[in-house]
Amino acid sequence: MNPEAPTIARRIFTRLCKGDNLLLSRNGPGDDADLFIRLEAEEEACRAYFEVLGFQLKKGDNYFHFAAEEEPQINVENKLERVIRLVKLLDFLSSRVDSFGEGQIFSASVLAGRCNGDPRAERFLEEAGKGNNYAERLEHLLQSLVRQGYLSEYDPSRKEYRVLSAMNYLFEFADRIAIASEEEASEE
Amino acid sequence: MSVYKESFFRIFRSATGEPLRRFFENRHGRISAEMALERSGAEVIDRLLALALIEYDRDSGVYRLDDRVERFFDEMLGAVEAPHADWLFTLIDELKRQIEGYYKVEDTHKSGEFLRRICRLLGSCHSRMQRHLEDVKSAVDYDYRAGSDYEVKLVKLQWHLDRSRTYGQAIADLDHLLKNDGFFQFHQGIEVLSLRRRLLQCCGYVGDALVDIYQSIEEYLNRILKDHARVQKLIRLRGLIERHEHLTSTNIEEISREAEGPWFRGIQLRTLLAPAVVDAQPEVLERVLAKAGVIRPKERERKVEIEEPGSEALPPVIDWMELFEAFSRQSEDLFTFLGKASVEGRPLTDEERLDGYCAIISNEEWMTAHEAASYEMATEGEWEYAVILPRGERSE
Repeated sequence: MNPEAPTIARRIFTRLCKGDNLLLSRNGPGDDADLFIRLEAEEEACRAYFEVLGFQLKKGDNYFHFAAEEEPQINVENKLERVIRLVKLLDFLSSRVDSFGEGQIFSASVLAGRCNGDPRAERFLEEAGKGNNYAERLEHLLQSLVRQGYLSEYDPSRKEYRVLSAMNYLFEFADRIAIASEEEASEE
Repeated sequence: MSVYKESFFRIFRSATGEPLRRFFENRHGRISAEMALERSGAEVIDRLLALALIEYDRDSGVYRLDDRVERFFDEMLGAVEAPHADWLFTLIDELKRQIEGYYKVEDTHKSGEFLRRICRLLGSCHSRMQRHLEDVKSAVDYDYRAGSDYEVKLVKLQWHLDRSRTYGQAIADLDHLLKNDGFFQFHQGIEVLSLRRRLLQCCGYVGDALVDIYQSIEEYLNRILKDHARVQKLIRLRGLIERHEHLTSTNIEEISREAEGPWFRGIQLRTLLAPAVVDAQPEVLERVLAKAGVIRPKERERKVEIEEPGSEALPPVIDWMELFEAFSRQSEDLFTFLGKASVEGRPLTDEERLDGYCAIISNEEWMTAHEAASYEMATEGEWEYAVILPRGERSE
């Protein structure tokens, strides 16, 4: 098998293999949206090309990412810890941002206002963010999500963020978790 | 919402803001010339007309907001309500009555009047159909995105779906009337034909757009139901995690075991540093990793000067355990030697130097070992000491 290199192969590889942001969203900032459309058009060619190099191009609900063969995996204990962190993060955002989901734009100031006096939110921010006060911790958390490609800065002057399609990657894990009592109820 | 509207209309001058707000709030109704003049005054109306913010329909004698202005207001304020389609049912009934009247009268003048009314109704219908569709669309989008109460959203979207269906029914009635009524089949007046053609096109377009709206509402409803269920599940999960029951009550362990992707990836070195730097300069790599937060930075090491001083500058080191051997090796210039000696990293003080010197030469072993020494001994009270002459004088 000797597949020809798709025209966007270099851009895709650079985009999905460097830095903290390893997810390409349909509604991503900058060139991401354009790159997503082009990757979608050449998906099969790219998949075949990268497979030869040992990378699997994975597509989710409006996002792409790579899964490398023999990629370093953390142990189950750490994975469990990260799933818990994921659940807490989604719970924090979904409960405090109106219609939190792909494409939604929200203001960090409004979110910070909602966290004020909310002991659960404050406890979460103490664990999740760095900073001297809750606003700084929230800012640190949101910036970290921007770096990882789950959010983008929509209007930095007004501290507004947009939820990117990559968030669906996290939602998929939350959807797969089943609570025993719910399952029993649905079976009954 | 009214407060929000009022604050928005403050962007206009006080004289024009209030009339514009009234025009916007009554945009689905009929504002006759008399009503407009009575409420706002002729001067304000003239100014609004001059600024092209409102327009006057001479045929129907009504004022209304300019389409572009109305759309702008809609976008800025969000149309919060999908309008009723009653106006279209009423208009169709009126149209049927006018057609009936047209056939009943025999007087050409009177039938001409009926015909003009029919054309006016058709024209009015055409302009309002498009606006009504835009209102429905924006109301649906607005209510899907705004607010966090899922139950309210569900109710509102269901409400919009019902109203959209009613509007679709009205459009279907109009389409049926235009296609099948004898008046439109046999009347060959250019104006009627033209209006009929435009309206039929518009009915087709609105019908297609309404199908899209039904689908989007259905999609929104499904998403809201899914989001609602997910939020409830997350709240329950958080509770289980806080009570440490998540491992027994959920399949979270199984999910964790199978989980993969960027969120779960182990630390992998991804760097723009040249491979040569990574392979050959571990200290640089270590600093980069520490800066990136991957490893804990080491405590800053203090740089120590290891440049060796010249042999003359290097002070002799005295081992206290072999004190005698150290000194006995110095057959000459013992006092000078003690001046250079360093103990515990510091030179001897004058007092220590003198005490040490005296202690050494009064030591028995020293005395035995140096019986034949050329030192001239002297005593002073209890002290006995060696008199050491400068090197030059001694040799002489």
